Parts: sequence; C-alpha cells; structure tokens
Amino acid sequence: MAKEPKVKDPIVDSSMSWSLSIASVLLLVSTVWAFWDEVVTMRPWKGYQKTFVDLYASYLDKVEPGLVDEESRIRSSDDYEALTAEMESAQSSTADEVTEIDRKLNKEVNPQIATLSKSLQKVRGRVNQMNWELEIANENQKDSRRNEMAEFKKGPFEVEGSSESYTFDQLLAEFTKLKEERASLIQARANATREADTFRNRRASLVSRRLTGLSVDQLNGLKRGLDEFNVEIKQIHVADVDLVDRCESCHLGARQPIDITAADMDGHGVYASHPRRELLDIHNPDELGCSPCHGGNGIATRSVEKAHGKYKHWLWPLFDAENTEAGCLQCHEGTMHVEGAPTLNRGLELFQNLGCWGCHRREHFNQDVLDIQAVVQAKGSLDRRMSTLDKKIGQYNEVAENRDSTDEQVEEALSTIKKSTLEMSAFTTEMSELSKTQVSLIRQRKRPGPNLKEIKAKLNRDWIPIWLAAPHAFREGTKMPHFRLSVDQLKAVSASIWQAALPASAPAQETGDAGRGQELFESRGCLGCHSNGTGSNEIGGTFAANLSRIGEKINYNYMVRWIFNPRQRLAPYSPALGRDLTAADYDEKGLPFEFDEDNALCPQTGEPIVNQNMTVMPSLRLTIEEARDVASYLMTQKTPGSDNLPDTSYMEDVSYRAMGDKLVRHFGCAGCHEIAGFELEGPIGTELTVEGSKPKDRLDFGLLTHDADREGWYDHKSFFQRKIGLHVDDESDPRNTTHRPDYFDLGKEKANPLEKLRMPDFHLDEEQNLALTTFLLGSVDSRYPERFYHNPKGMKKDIADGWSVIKKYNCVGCHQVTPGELPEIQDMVIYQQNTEKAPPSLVGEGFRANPEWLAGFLANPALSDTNPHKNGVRPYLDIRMPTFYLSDIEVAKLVRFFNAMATQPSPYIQPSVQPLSDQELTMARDAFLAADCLKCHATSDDPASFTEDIIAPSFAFTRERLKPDWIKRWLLDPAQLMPGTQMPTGLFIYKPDEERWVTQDKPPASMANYKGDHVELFVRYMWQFTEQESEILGSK
Amino acid sequence: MDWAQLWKITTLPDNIPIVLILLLLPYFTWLGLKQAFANDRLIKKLESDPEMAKTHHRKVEPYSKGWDKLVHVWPYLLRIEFLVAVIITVIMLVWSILLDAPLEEPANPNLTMNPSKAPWYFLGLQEMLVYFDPWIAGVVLPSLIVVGLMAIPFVDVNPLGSGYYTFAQRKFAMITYMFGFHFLWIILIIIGVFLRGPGWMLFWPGMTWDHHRQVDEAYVHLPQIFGLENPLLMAIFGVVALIAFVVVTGGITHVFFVKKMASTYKKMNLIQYGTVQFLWITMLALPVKAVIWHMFRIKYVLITPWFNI
Repeated sequence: MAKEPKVKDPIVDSSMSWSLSIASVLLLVSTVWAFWDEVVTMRPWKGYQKTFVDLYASYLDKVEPGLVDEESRIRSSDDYEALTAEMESAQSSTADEVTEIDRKLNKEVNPQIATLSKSLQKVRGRVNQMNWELEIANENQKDSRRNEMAEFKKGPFEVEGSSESYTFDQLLAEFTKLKEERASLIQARANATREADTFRNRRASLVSRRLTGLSVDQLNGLKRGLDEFNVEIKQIHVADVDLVDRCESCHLGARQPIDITAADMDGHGVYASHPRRELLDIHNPDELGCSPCHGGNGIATRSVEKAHGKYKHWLWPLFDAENTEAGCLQCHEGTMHVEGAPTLNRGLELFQNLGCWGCHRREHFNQDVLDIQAVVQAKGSLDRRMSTLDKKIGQYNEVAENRDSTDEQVEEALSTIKKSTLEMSAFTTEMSELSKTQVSLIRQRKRPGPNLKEIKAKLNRDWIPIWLAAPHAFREGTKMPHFRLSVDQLKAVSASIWQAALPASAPAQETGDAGRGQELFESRGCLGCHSNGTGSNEIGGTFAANLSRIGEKINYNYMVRWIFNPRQRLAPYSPALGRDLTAADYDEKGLPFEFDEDNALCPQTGEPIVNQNMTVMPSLRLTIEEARDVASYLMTQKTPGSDNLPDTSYMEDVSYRAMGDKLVRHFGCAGCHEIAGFELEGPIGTELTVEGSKPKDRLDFGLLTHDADREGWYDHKSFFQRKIGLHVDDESDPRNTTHRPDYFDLGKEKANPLEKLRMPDFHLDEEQNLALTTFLLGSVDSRYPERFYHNPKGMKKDIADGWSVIKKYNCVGCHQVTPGELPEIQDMVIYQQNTEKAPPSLVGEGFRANPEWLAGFLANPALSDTNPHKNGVRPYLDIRMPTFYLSDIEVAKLVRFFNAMATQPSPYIQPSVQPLSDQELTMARDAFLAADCLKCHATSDDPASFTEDIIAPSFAFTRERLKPDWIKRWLLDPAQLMPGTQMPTGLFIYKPDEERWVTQDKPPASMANYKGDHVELFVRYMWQFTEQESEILGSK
Repeated sequence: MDWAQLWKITTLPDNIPIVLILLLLPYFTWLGLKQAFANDRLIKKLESDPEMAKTHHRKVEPYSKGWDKLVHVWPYLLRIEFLVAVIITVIMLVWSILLDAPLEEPANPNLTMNPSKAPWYFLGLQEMLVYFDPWIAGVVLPSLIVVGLMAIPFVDVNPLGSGYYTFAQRKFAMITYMFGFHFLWIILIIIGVFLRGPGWMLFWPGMTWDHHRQVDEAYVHLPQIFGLENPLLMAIFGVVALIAFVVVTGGITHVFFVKKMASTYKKMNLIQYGTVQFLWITMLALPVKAVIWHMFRIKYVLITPWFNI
C-alpha cells in the first residue's frame, strides 16, 4: 500500500488539535469560573465584610476625638479631681503600712512558703503512697506498714536554707502556719487600701457614667479587633433547635458596642447596629438566634434575597421593618400586652375591641366562653356522680330499714351510708364552687356589640336600616363594620332583629336639665372612653363610640336607664333553658322578677343566668336625676334634619323573618351581638390562630392569584392588608379599591349572593391596618421548642393576666398604669391645669394599697353601701371611679397585677404598728395640725366635709387602705413616688447625728422633748385615726 | 396568549432537560437516519457490485480507495471521545454554575403541591395514569416495558446492522423503537411537562395555569355508550371489545410481517413471534386508549371489580 491516497481520510488524516485546544481552553476557563463562583460569587458576605472593616475603621477614627474631649473634660472636672485627691490622701495615709505588708509578703512569707513546699511536696508524695498501700494491705500486714509509715514520718527531713531538720508533722504544721500568715497579711493589705479603692472605683464609674459612648481604651480595643478581623461566616448556632443564623456575616454592626447608624457607615444600612439594643439584652442572640424573631432564612448566605427568605420556597420570610413586632408572637402568645411592642399591642387590642374573635376563633381570645363550657361540663359529670351516689345511699337505706336484713347487712349499710354521705358533702362543696366560678365567668363574659334583644326599647326603628346600610357614614370610626347587604337583605336583617327583640320597653322618665347634663358628661369621666363632637371638635377617648349623633338613634327612656346602669337588663337569659326568662317564670316559683347581682340563679333550674348586659360599660353611679340630665344632653346630639327617616313599617312584616334569620346566621351577627335565638352561635369565620403560617396556597386570592404572583404581592402580608380593608382619605389612592374585604371576589361570578365573601369592612385606617396585619402575620404555629416561649410565671404571669383585664375595661383611658404612658383624657385642658383633679396615677399602686382593701374598692368603688353616688377615696374629684361589676376572678387578677407591677411580696402581711401612748397622741395631734395636713386632706368620709380646698384623700381610710411603708416613703418624698403631686416635699429633714427624721418646721411645744422619729410618729398616728379622732381634729 | 406562563414553564430549571430534548432529539434522529440512509445506499451499491465489495471494507460512507481498511482505536476513536468528554464537562460546569438545583421548600405532608409532578423522566408513566387505572398504568405496563426490553435479544432474529447505521436492514427494530420511545415515551413526557397544569388538566401552550379553571370531565365507559348498565354484561362486552382490538391490531401486524418482512418472519419461532405480537399490541393499546379517551370521553373499556382497562 505504498500508493499515496488522493483524498485525505477524515478519520486518520484530520488533525483535531484545534478543536482539542479550544475545548481545553474552554474547560480551563469554566474551571476557573467555577472556582470564582464558589469563592466569590456565592459568598457575597466576603465583600460585605471587607467594606465593613474599611467603613468601620474610618468611623472609629471619626468618633474618637469627640470622646477624647469628653473624657478629658471629665477627667479635669472638679468631681473627678476631688475624688482623685481623696483617693491619694487615703493612699498616702496607709502607704507605710502597705509597704510594710508588701515587704513581709514578698520578702519573708512567700519565699518561705516556696522553699517549704518544695520539701513538703517530696515527702508528702511518699506519705500519700504509703498511706494508700496501707489502706489496701492485708490485715496481717497493716501493722507493719503502719509502723513503717510512722518511722518514715519521723524523718528527719531537711529544708533548703535551714540548718534545722523536721519531722513530717512539723513540716505540715509549719506550712499551715505560713499560709495562715499570708492570708492575714493579704486581708490586712485589703483593709488598708479599701478606702482608696472605693474612691478609685467611684472615680472610674464617674467616667463611665458620664461618658455616653466608649472610652478611649474600649475604642482602641475595637480598632485592634478590626486589624485582626477574620473574613469568615459569622454564625450563631443554637444546637438544641438546630438553628443556624448567619445574619451577622453581613449585619456586622448589629451587636457592636457602639451605636452605628446607616449615615455613619456611608449610607450602608446593612451595617447599622440593632435599633433596639435593649431587646437583645433580654433576648440573647447567642441563645435565641435572629430568625426566630425576624424571620428569614438564617442559613442562606448567597444573596440578600435568599438570606431574607424573600423567595417562593422559603415559608418564613423576613418581616418588613413595619411588621417586625409580628415576630414577638412566635413566643409571646397568650398575653394582651407585649412590652415594647406598640404596634403588636395595638393589633391585639383591635382584635379584641373590634370583636374579630366573634367570627374568627383565635386562641387566647373569647376564653370566657370556653371556660364556661368547661365548667358546665365539669358540673354535668359531677352531677352524674352525685346522682349515682344518691341512688347508692337510697339502696343502702332500704337495706338498713328492711326488717329482714341481718345485723351484718345493716351494719355494712350504715357504714357505707356514712362514708357516702361524707363523699356527697364533698361533692356538694365542689358543685357550689363550680357554680360560683360559673357565675363569675358569666359575669365577666362580654360581647363587642350591644344586646339586640333590647332594641325595641332602645332604638328608633327607622334608624336601624340607615345604620346597617352604612355604619361608618353615620358614625365615623365605629367598630360596627359595613356588611355589603343588598336592599332586600337589608330589609330582611332589620326586620329579623327587630322582631326577635324583647317586646318590653324602658320605664318612662322625666326630662332632665341638658345644660347640667353636659357638665356632668364632660366631668364625670364619660370622656375616658367615649368621644363627642366631630373633626377638630372631637374630645374624649376612642375606646367606645362617638356620641355626636346619639340623639338620632336612641329612645330617651332607655338612655336614662342605660346611663344609670348599663348592666341592667330588660330580661335575664338562662343558658340552661336557652331562652330569656319572663316574669311568669319567676311568678311560678313565687319569686319577684329580680335578677340583680344577688339573684344570679335561674328560678326554674337553679343554674346561673346572664343577669347583666354583656357590655364593658360601667356604671358611674349617677343619681337618677343626674342620669336624666346626661341623657337629656345626649338627646340633643343630633344633626339637623335627621328626623325625617324613610318609612320602615316593613320591619314589622313577619314574612321577612325567615330570610332575615338566615342572613343573621350567615353574616354572623351573633358573633358580636346578643340576639334572641342565636345565643349559642359559633364563630362563622376561619380560625386565625396560625393564619400567619398557613400555606400560601390556602389563602383565597381568588382569581387574582396569578396577578398577585406576577406583580409580587403573592404573600401573607399583602393578603391580610387587602383582606382586612383600608380607608384612606385621599380618594385617588389606589388602595381604596384594592384593600377591601371583598377584593378577592373580583371577577367571580356567583349566582347566589350568599356565596360572596362575608368579611365586612371595618373602615380601618392605615395605623389600624398595619397593627392588625402585624398581629396576623405573627399568629403562627411556632417552629421553636418550649424553651423559647415566654411562659410567664409568678409576677410576670400576674402582669400578663392583669393586662387583659386592664385592656378589656380600658382602665388606661383614665389612669396611668405604666410610667411614661399618660392616658388620653389627661390631655384635656382641665386636667392639665389642675393635675389634682385628674384620675390618680396607678404607678406603684401595689406598693401603696393594701391588697385586701384594693379588692374591696374595685368591687365597690364608692366604699359605702348607703351612698353609692360618690367616689370612695377621692370624693372631691368630679371625675368618678365607676363600678365595673368585675367578677371575683377579675378583681383578683387586678389586685395581683398591681402587686406584681410594684414587685410586692404576696400575700401581704400587714406589719404591726405600735399604738401611740396618750402623750404621743397629743404630740402627734399637735404636729399634725401644725403641719397643715388638713388644709388639703379631709378627715372623714362625709361628703359634707369636703370643701373647695380639699384636694387629697381622706384619712378615714388610711389604715385599711395604705401600707405603712408607703406612707413613710410618701411623707418623706412624695414627688418621687408621684411626680407632679401637690403634696409638699421636704416636710421632714434628716438629722444624721440623731439618726432620725424631724419636722422641718419647728415642732409644736408638746414635742419639744420628743426624741423619737417624727415620721414614725405620723405613721403611727394615722394608723389609729378614728372617727373620734377626726371629730377632735375638726373641733380644733 | 399568556407568554409569561409559557416562559415560566420553559425556563424552570427542572424543565431544561425537556427543552433540550425538544431540540436535540429531532436533531440526532435526523443525523442518525441520514447516516443510515447513506449506508443503505452503500449497501445497495456493494450488493450490486461484488468487485467493489472486495476492496471496500469500511461499512460506512464516505470511502476512498487507499484509505486504511481498519483504523486503530487509539488514537482515532479515543481522541474523539476525549474531545466529547471535555465538551460535556464544560457544558456541565457552566450549567451547574448558572442554574441551582431546583430545590423547593421542605416537604409538608399536609399540603400537596398542585400540579404535583413526578421527575421529568417519569412523567410518561404519570401521564399513562390518566388513561388506565393505577394497576395497569402503574404496575402492568411498566413491568412490560422492562420485560420487553429484556426480551429484545431473544426475539431479535436479525443478525444485520451490528456496528453501523442502517434502516433498510433493521426496519422493524427501528420503527418499533421510534414508535415506542420517541412517539410514546417522549411525547408523554412533553405532554406531562408542558401541557399538564393544576389538577392535571390539559392546558395548551399559552394558556394560563389557572387553579380555578373548571372543565367538564364527564366520562363514560365504552359499554355504557351501547346502553349497557349491568356489570356482568359490561364486563362481557369489555372482553369482547378487547378481543376485537387484539384481533384487528394483531391482524394488521401479522400482514405487515408476512408481506414486508418475510425473511425475518420465517426465522422466528412461535414463542418469539407471539412475544413480539403481544408487545406490539400492548404498545398500540396506549395511543388507541388515549385517542378514544380524548375524542369520545371513554374512561374504561373493560370494567371488572379487580382492574379496569
């Protein structure tokens, strides 16, 4: 085959060098790219860390000068120098002593110990070994070994630098002696330098206290840290939860000891320090991580989007800044008040007050109903056990009484009867306890809306459809939401509730004085919860309804009755019978038709009844005349021309009833209102307890799912925001059309109008929408173990429980409960001008008041059974502490709340106060008069004794009401306990040489020789302040 | 036309292999067939020119006199394989850099995703579940696929076509393969990937995958079309219908064998021929069922208490 081929063979002759080299280059490039991707692209935090180091270093350079100035200024201040001088003088006075001690320590004792211990160690090792061998030796060898050891111990042993020789015991004794000597020397040195050290510490704390930022040393430390900065993943690993949070790989400034803002870091917000550092002190990130509170994917480091969990497959994305507080609920479930989380608290409050829980079950809301059910069940089972026992007793009775029974049988029967009777009495006690609890629970159960059984007596019939059609048009800001009812539906619902109402009417009342009524309305405390007037004229609280158009809807007679006591019902409701009771029910049993607090049992069944309106509105204990005045005033609150309402005679048409009842059930009216026949209706809406962690696919975005997905709002937050609705004043704002509860019905064809979304429109404003959205976002199924949960115990639990009562009855509408949060009502001009006329602050109430007294006061704030029309403690106030008809459970919760807020030990044991001798009594009385106490304080409970000048509580209740420790503190420094009080400070001055407090003014003559403590004397005097004493004082 | 939806499906990292299949499968089929037809022409030439057959030892085109009749594996084959290995490595590297593994959220036993799709290579199986009951589509048919593949060496009596591309010499094998794999398996995968949306409803390309879509899916069983409601009669009718199907399709296959592939047919014994017939008929059952399902809304032909076909 020597012949040259004409055509080149494509297999043999073609060279593949080019293709191979190009492929190789590509391989090389892609390999390099792969490395680059691995090391740089996929680790963006490296870049973040490098930038941080640069920016932080230059920032630290910038902050330094200011701090140095500040520091040197402090160091040259008089205080500092005075302390330095004192420190130095203290040092020099003991300098010789200290030098001598140091010399002894360093030159004598320590070297001796060192040499001795060298010898001792050698010998002791041997002795220890011998001892051990002795211990494990055979019995017959023990003696010889013991002797051997004793022989060894005799030595003699040499000690370095000493000519003497010692036995082992001598060595040991010598060693112990030296060590004791050293200890006493060290103690002596500490004593000698203590004074100087105290000054040195005070000087140091002077610097650290006055210096807001860091000291120069700390700053330098930070800078050194930056020099050695390691570019690496900074992660928190919480092992037991398997939680890995690498947030700080980029958020490097989060826990820096210095406050860093975005501006400090050249606008890089990522490096800013945690905006609420104080929270990190409680929630240590090393134990809890970051993502449990904030959300986000803590492990991811590839991109901002991934790490923040803002992508499709991460189910727990980072909360937006405005919703951050949603994270609190992860662990802080079951409380109405999370400290430091105002938005969330507002959400909780709205959920409670707007009655969201009427339709949507949510754990920790509407708990009373569940508790009542539990009690009823417990009673049922107890009842069954009792009747079984009863039968058993009956049977044995028969045996015992049967003449044919043998003696043994009779004896057995009698003993069984005895045992069973005992058991029965235990059951009876338990039953009555349960009934008591049930009465309490029924009393404290409230509904967000008024009782519709009374509307025939209460309302102007023509007004009802107007209201139902557009509640917010009638009363802006009302909590009654807008249901999208058609004209027919509106008629049917109006007719249904009208016809379901009780036929009773309120007794006729005379007309009152509207002018006086207005005065009372504005001063008695109505404005703590209610507002009146519109726009800029609006005054009062937002907790309850705005009353500016109340006159258009209400019947005067009912109004009087309501103001007099809103809890008074037209007819009681018996849950056991499932209907309202009538006078006939009472007649049948020969009982009067009375169902007040003392008659809370059903005459027919003996079971507890609902004998109060389920409203939180309290009674202000007005007289009936006053109630008429206020009602007359409120009747004037109407807009002109409101008398001509369209005819509503159809509401009497029974043919509407069936459809109306169906609609009432359909729209869940009974979730908030008491409606005859619907008392037992359950919630009609979705349960919201874990709504925030519900899979997105199960949120009903309707036909908008795809739009939401593509426009980037397919998430829980946007869903909630739209679903709960929003009304902004700017008409052109697109949110007015998208943020509507029926938005997700858009484009849906629903032939049956009842298939449409039922969620009504609450006309929420932006703040409310944000708060509720935050609350819903936070309502999740926690992913973390119980260890993470905030499970308050003891005082913390008392506080949590108390808050729910405080919020329920809006105590904070009038009273200050926490420092710094002033109730709205105190913004009113009259209270700003005259703080003593405002409701008292309850900060420190637990320290002030005797809990037993407090419980009594809360139950009966008039502190009088005969004259309820007054304030118990402060009858001189126009504003009145109302009667809330709290249940025993609630009273106990409140008392424990105040106790816990003031960290008072529980139970309270009243300290004994030594009674005054006659001589002391005279002195105290004189001093009391001299101190002008009676200028402001009253001495009796009699309202007649309250003159214009009286602006402080009466002494009549002191002993029951106050704690002696508090009185003492109060006398010494009232301003500290209650800033802004009119009680003068500095009534007493301290005499250090006599170690006692004495009155500032010259004491009265009778006290000239008194050597005791004057404050003590005052307290003891007040402790035995009697009516008699009051009269004696009065006569003087 | 919902382009966004289409784009979303096509660019999903999971679906990249399917998009590639759409392009590569036709290309390689074309390439293979081109070579096969070229070889077929060569075979014809060689058969008609015995002289040439003596010198021409390479069984492929092109060929030139003077070229070595045989070439070594190293370097001539291995260098090509090496080049391919390098290129594939580059592609894999770049692919893995650019696209992350399509991982999703942690599985939630309480929440099934919709549509809930098998991995792409199993979508054919999942698609079969639409037309047959799970017992047939999930157990019988997949087993038959495996058994059928295993049976190939035993039923393949054709010794030709080893080591070179050819169509003419292996007509039956090629047609069977292209029908079974390209047409049935790949088409089913493509339907599963691109046309099956939420609720496993059929969405044409460009339709929005709307979870709220409602379709009228009132299906009947074949016997019911003929007015039968009694289960026993329905079962009997189903068996008759199945037998009719077997007779018709078997007859057509038989005619094809006898007329077009007489030599092969003669070489086969009864078991071999029976196996081939059985597998073919079964394979044909799938498209036939799919067609009557879609065209006449027929759910099952044979209904028994134990299984349905």
